[in-house]
Parts: sequence; structure tokens; C-alpha cells
Amino acid sequence: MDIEVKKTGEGVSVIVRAGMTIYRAHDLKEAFLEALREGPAVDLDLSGSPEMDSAGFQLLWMLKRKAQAEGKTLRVRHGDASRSVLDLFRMAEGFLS
Amino acid sequence: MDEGRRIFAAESAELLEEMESSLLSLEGSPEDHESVNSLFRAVHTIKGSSGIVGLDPVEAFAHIVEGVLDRVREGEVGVGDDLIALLLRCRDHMAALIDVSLRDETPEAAMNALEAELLSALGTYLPQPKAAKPQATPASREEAAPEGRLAESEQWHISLRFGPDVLKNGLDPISFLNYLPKVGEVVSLTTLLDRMPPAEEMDPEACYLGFEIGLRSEQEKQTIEDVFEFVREDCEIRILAPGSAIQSYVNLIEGLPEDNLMLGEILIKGGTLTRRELEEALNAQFGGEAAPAGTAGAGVHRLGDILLKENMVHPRVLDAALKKQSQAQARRAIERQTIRVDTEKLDQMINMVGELVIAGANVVQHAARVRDKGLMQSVDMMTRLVEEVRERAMRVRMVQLHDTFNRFRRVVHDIARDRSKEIDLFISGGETEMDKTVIEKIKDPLMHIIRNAGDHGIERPEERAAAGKPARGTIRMNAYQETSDIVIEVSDDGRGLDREVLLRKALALGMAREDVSYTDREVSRFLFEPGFSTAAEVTNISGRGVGMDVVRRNIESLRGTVDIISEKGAGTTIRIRLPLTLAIIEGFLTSVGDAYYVIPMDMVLECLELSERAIGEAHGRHHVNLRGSILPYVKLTDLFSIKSSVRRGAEHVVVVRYAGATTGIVVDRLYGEIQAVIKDMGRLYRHVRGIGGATILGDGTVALILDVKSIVQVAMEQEDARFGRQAE
Repeated sequence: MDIEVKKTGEGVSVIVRAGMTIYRAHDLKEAFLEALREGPAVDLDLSGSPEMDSAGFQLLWMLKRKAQAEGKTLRVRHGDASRSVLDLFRMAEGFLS
Repeated sequence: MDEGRRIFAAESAELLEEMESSLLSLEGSPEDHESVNSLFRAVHTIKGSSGIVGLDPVEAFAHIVEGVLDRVREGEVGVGDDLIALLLRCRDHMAALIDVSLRDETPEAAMNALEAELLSALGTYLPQPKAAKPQATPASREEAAPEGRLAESEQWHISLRFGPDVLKNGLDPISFLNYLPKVGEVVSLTTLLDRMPPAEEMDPEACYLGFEIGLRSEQEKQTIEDVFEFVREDCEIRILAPGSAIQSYVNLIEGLPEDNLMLGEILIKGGTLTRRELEEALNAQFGGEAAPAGTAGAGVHRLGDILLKENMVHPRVLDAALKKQSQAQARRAIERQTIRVDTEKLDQMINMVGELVIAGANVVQHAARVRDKGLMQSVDMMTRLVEEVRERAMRVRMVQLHDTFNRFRRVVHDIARDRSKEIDLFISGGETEMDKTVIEKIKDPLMHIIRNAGDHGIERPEERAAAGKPARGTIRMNAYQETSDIVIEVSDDGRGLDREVLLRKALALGMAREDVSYTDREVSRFLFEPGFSTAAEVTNISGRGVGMDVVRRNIESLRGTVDIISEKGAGTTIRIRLPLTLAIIEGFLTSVGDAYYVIPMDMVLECLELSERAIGEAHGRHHVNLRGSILPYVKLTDLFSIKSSVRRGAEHVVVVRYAGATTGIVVDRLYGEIQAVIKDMGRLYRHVRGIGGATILGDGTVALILDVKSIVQVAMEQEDARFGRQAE
């Protein structure tokens, strides 16, 4: 499975190995929402995701915004792809974990 | 290749075709403004989009070509044969350059030399090098009719609100932001996602992004606008030059959907306005008109007025800013009746349909056993629906042959010119549809056939006149559907095949035997033998050493056939026959022992019993008497070395017909018609004679699909071997 959601001791871990792109956008959204439902803290690992496009970035932002709204913790481990998009959008600050 | 490049590859290919047809059109009618315009647009778009995906060499070259075409468009340069020939060469060079650049290779010396030559030739159509570009900033400051004070900042302000369908249409804001540094320094950038609905409602494929950008740049407004040329219809773009009237920024803020205070902060933080400037302007505004500040409508209206009055914004950008998204969308929906689909998604869907067909067959089997009437009716309905889904799914991949055929106009044009011949190309049946992947694979064979027709078929005008033919030769491309096949014909009225010459060559090459008399058709088939085309005939056009044998193999790999019909002195017709669908066929299910075999239904004529008596009458030969004719047969037990599970005399013969030859295939049991989804068997089995794929039956068993053609051949060979006679 290239988008994995699993419960860990402290919360929920989401590991994305697929590209964070429009092609998997629906799957990613589902996974992110599921993760938020399952626990008080979400650990998102994007280090293995080879690509990110605007759709992927939007979903990342959606996750952050919803986590904030629900008072849940979000930690993100970035990969080169996500880091470079965040840098381009100058949103790195908002996502430094 | 990343997504942007993939899209660029596809779109630039279309644009290059457009360029070519416009040029060919102009050759015939140099006054055609429509063609000049579409020619210009094509090059202009290639220039812009190649820049966006980072293919600088392409952009640079296209820029020069565009310059020349701009002069043509303005009437400063006339359309002559020389210019058209030059532009065709430029088009070819751009295609090659794009190809090389997409593969991240550097052009070879030969290509660079060609480009230098082309650039030099293009230069003769351009005026003397322009004087250095006028200072961008002072000019716009002059244009800005001051209405109130001017802002002090020296940076451009770009406000972008991408439309929801940008991503679905294959573009990404990321590309544009990556490109901006090429026209200036991005001093500040704020990303806005306020337009994104709550998580449950947001559409993961839609775009909600907006950007407020501060850009320091010496470029002209046009250059900055051009960055967004490609996405103009899918994005609201507002550009304010440095030192615009403060009021314009205020109006910008009001015209944008987000909260005014927040936007104000963004502009201040971004360096476009100082806090004081903004506060003063807002104070002045509140003290002024009654129009409710903060309502988007009022803001936009005033934005429009002020901007137009100040003549600061190019009308196109203003259009984009003022037009509501829905209007733009509605217009696009009417203009464009197609959408781009990722072929992988389509393949996956068609695969699923195949699985559905199999699952459906399974249901039918079980239902038959249950014998419930109501169930049978439902199952019937289901089968009919599945069948229809299958047909529609296959049809999605069907594309008209029209465009493919039209591409050959250029080929014929070039051959005619190169060989000093006069050749017309007539096309009919362009509306015939074929599976897109099959069309891709048929392009090369067709190319070769057309080149042959132009090279070797059509004679020079003098020769034609001497033969009493019109000086202009004709090549015709025709396509039509015949039952479950698509037929494509390429005919010419040239010199045709000379049977004697062919036969002599075949004898010389050892392909034919002196003592055998061959029919005309058999003689023409020598052309398809490897090695038949001699060095003398392989010209620089047909020149890759691709002979008719490769053409035949390509077509046969698509389960098609190719035939030549020719008359010496009158002309030649090449007829290609291709099955309509690749993946699913109607098959006749049989078994031998424990193994199941499917025979393509369209080749099955009838079935007989192979009785003891029939076997006896053949005196050891493998044939039966079928209503007075001899029907040779192949026993699958022999061919595949397997054991039969029925006794002699209880076997069946399935009579099949392939390309005019009739044979019988002997099997144990017959089961009737099924729909078989062809599964590729992979390279391991490619050399197994007699098998053309496999399929999965309703209960999961694997059945092998027989390759009737090779079975027929085997039958003939067996007859030979047994009795040392000539092949019939």
C-alpha cells in the first residue's frame, strides 16, 4: 500500500510513498481524514513521496487546518518534494514541526 | 517525464501539426488570413509554454520565428514560396529540438548548424535589430495618470487567483511560480487558500490557490503578462506596475474575495505599499463616495474604471480580472467538447470492464445451474448491460482516422517536391474510427506504404504523359469498416507491380523455384519476404532499411493482414485489414483432454464429427471429405502433444477459414460461444506456434486462444512432410 494509515501507541501514523499529486488526490484526502478521525495526534511521513503538486499541497494544508480546528497535533516529516513546494509557496514556516 | 512536460509534448505536437497544415494551406492560397493567424498563434503558444516547462532552446528559437510571423501578420512581409519552405524547415527543426530537449539531451553539432542557417535565413525577414528596450519602469510611470498619490514602491504587484479547474486541465500554479524568477526577482510571495471549503466539501482535484506577489523587474508589462499566457483563461490575473496610484491598490484589495484588512496587510508585508500610504488612501475613500467599500461588486466596478482610465492594464488582463469564473467556464464548456484523459486511467478502466465481463460470465454459469426463471431474466438483463458497457468502453478509445490520414499530406507534398513529381493525395473514410493504440502502431507501416507509392509507384510527369496518363499522379487513402474489421487502403495510379521483374528477383534471391508456377497473388507476396527490397530501391526517404516485411510483421502483430493488388501500368493498392477490438473477442470454446482452447469465432465456419468412417476414408491422411472437397485438418493432440480424453470417432472437427484457406481443427469437445478477454501471455510464449494468447473462463480456468493462422500453416506443412508434395 503506498498510502498507509495505521494506529500507533501515540496516535495515528500516515506514511505516503505515492506521489502527493492530483492522481492520488482522492485517496490522499480519504487517508488524511481517516487519520484525523482515528486519533488525537497525526504523524505524517512524506519523506518517501517522490513528488508533490498543487493538489498535494492543498491537501497538506487541509490536513493542517482541520487538525488545528479540532485541537489535534500534526507532525510532518518532509521529503525533498514537499520541502521544495513549501519553499516555493513560502509556506515552510507553517509546517516546520 | 514530469506532468508538465508530458502535457507540453502532447500539446506542442498538436501545435506543430497545426503549423504544418496552415503552411500547406498558405502555399495554395497565400492571402488566407485565417491560416496566417493560426500559424502565428501556434508558434506563439509553443514559445510561451516551452518557456514555462523550462525548454529554453525551444523558446528562443520559437521567439525568432514568431517575430517573423508577426511581421507577416501585420502585412510587413509577404507570403512567398521561399518563406513557406523556410518555415516548414523551421517547423521540422522545432519538432526535433523539442524532442531532443524533452530527453534532456543537448543538440548535436549538425542540429546547431542547421539552426544557425535557419536563423540567418529568418533574419532576412526581420528589420534591423531594435534599439535597446526602452526602460520599462519610467514608461509605465508616465502612463499612470495619477489620480491621487503614487505609491513609492519599485516593484510590480501580481495578484493571482487560479480557477478551480486549473489542475484538471493539466496546469499547475507551481510551474508559473517557478518561471517567474526568469522575468524578475520575486521579492515577496503570499500563498492564499481562503477559498478552500471545509475539508469534507473540498474537491481534492480542484484548485483554490491564490497568490499575492511582489516582483522586481526591468521587463515590460507584456513580458510579465506573457508568463501567464497559457493559463489566462483559468486564472484571474491582476498586475499593477511599480508606482501605480495608491487608489489602484485599494481597488485591487476591494476587488479580491478575501478580507480587506488581511489583503492590506499582505500588500504591506510584501513591500508593495507602505502602511501609511494604505491608511491615507482608505481614509480618503471613506470620506468620499457612498459606494459600499468591501462589497466585491463595487470594488470590481471601480477597479475596472480606474484601471482603464489610467490605461495601466492591458485589456486582456482586465478581462480575466473582471470575468466571473462561471462565465469563463460556460464558454469553455461550449467551445471544447473533449477532455484530456490519462491513457493509463482509461486502460485501467477497460481492464476492469474485462474483469466485469468474466465475472458476468461466471454469474451466467451459476444462474443456469439454479434454473430460477426470475434469476435468468435478471441475468439476461445484466449480460446485455455488461455487453453495452464493454462496447462503450472500447469505443472511448476509438479515434477517427481523419487526423492520422491528414498528416500524410505533408509526406506526399515533400516526396513530390523532392522527386520532381506531381502527386495529389485524396482521402476518404476519415470518419472511420479505430482504437487509439492501434492507430499509433499503424502510423509507421502507413508511412512506409505511402512513401513507396510516391517513390516507386507514381512515375515522373514525363513518363506518365508518355503512357497516356495525366501528369499529376494520384494517391488515395481510404478506410471503411467491414463486419468486425477495419480496412485501410492505399492506392496509387502509378506504374504498378511488374510480375516478371518480381519473379526474377525472387528467383535470384532463392525465394522462388524455377519449376513452380505462381499465381499473381503469390508473386506479389514475395514483396513481404525479408530482404526483398534491394539496396537500389532503399532511397533516402524510405531509407531506414524498413522493408515491406517489417510492415507486414507490424500489421500482423495487430492481428491484421495486408495484401497487395496491382496491375502493371495501372497502379497498386495495398489493403490492410485490422480487427476492430483488440482485447475482447467472440470465441468458440473447445477442449482436448483437460485443456481448454478458444477459437476466434469470426474464423469458425462449422463443426463436424470426426467419425470412424471419415477417418477410414482418408487412408492415413489427415483430411476429410467435406461435401465433395478435401478438408485438411490438424489434430491438437498432435500439435500440442497432449492426450485426448475421448475415443477415436468421438472427436470433433471445427472448420476454420483464414485468408482464403480452409482447415479443420480436431478437438475432443465443443462448448459453444463465449466472450474471451484476451490476456497477453508475455514473451515466454511468443514463439509457441498455434497460440495467440490466453483467457480466463467464468470459473477461473485458463483457456488458450488458438492462433488459427499458424495452425493453418502447420496443417499445410504436415501435409507436405507426410507426402513430400508442394504446398497448395
